[in-house]
Amino acid sequence: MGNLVAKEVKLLFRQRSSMLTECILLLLIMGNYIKNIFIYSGTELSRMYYPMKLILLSLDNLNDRADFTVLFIFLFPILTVLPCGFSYINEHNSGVESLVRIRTGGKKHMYVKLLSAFVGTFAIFAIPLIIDITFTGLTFPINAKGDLLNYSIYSSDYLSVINKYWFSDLFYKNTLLYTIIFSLVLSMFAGILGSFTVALSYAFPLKYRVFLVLPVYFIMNLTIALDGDWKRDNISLAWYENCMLFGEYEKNGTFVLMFLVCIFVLIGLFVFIGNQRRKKGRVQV
Amino acid sequence: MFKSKRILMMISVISGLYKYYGFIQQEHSIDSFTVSILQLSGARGILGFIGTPNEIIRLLTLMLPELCLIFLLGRSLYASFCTGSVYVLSRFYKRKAWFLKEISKIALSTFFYFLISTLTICGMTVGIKHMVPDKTGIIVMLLHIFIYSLWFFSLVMIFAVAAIKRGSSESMLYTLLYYGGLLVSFSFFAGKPEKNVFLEINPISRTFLNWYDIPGIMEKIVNRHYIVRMDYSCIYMVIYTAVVVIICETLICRNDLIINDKEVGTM
Repeated sequence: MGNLVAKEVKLLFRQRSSMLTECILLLLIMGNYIKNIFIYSGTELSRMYYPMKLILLSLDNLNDRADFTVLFIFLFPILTVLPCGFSYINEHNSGVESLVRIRTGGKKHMYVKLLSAFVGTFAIFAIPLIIDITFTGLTFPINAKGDLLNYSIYSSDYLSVINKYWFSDLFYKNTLLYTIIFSLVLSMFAGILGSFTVALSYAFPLKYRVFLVLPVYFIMNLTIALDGDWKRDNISLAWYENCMLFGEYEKNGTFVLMFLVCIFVLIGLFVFIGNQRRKKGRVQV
Repeated sequence: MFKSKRILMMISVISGLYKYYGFIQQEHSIDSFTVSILQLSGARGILGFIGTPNEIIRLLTLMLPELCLIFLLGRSLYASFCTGSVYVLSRFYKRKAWFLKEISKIALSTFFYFLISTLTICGMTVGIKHMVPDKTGIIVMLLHIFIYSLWFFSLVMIFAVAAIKRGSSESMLYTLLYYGGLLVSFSFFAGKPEKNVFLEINPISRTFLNWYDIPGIMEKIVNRHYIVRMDYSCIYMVIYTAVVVIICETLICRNDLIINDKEVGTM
């Protein structure tokens, strides 16, 4: 099975949509990086912000000029689906599915698709994000301590903001490691959404791929729309406040857990529906 | 056009309810009918849109139903082309006539959507918030329907043409990139002398009705980022939409039969 997943991921990487996603992510990162160079070149070390707070994923950017971070938040739902989310529907629509299913078996084929979508999307997101961290870390002084919220690092306000981060202890001990780990966590989240789309397309193989993007796009934006009332209590439901780095709102662990459980239940449900529909002959393979 | 007008009407009403409860109901500083309509174009209470990152994210959430509508309407034009390219265009050589007929259906749907959703919001504002529609409010409401119909119609056209060229999923990305790019580009020119020129040519700056130079708005909205001339904006949006339609028409009419299925995602 591992071999099949590796082959599938390799195939996914060669697809046009994967390359397009990778290019867009790299362009956003490069734009943000160049912007930072223009703004912060020649800044004194004592006035310089901590470089990890300047990367694309940093929500602290929202207090400053966050053009690329906003664009990333805007495009994220579609970028998660585009590279690997259509790996099943492409085979189904082109008729390749029947050939592969004969050789590998129906269930195995589905699990390979789900796993490869997860691994593929994860890798497509993780590589540019790590590049961003590396380049920003090398270019800007890593020992700078400034914060984009403009709090003194010894102030109680600053500490109260830091305590709202996920695993703030790790942030205190090693901020660079914290940034790397949470960039990988965001990539894993993207991978889960990629697998969700594959499961959806397995249950309902629609002709137009835009309909497969819309559920993820809608769900993710709905978390932002529902956010309004919660933000008054300093807790956020928006996906980006909970999944991206830093930020000034309290992370909502219960909501994130519930959200992930719902996604996993839906993936299982879609696979079940897909199997039942194939058994009853409602989906022609 | 949607196969069923009822579905479009249902979407419009749901969109109106979403906007009312999500963005008008909870704003306590809304004191008139005009200001409540201005919430639909990015204002927060009596504060005008100034293009901060948080405001842009809020605006994108506000436009969620419209963004979904772009993909639904754009897909219907794309689907018409997929069928039409085989069954109609191969026999009927007047492509322009076919194209104009198809886009007129889309234009009508877009207009119908904005008419119903805006009327739903107005009805809720009058019924629940007990705000009496004034003359400025009615002008702003009509302007909202007119400007947004043109703006989203142009986006539907861009989506449909990109779908014909690259498939529906990729075209969704390009459309969002275009829309998001125009929005976030405000901050590139912040504090630069070219800012005013950029805002003049950027079509999205015409969609912020709280920037318009209508007397009723000028007094009610504070913290305005930029002042836009109403008459100039209407003409600008008509010309902009016409240019988009002409470009899309040229691209679509040059496109031959769709032989390879773009939805399969070839390498």
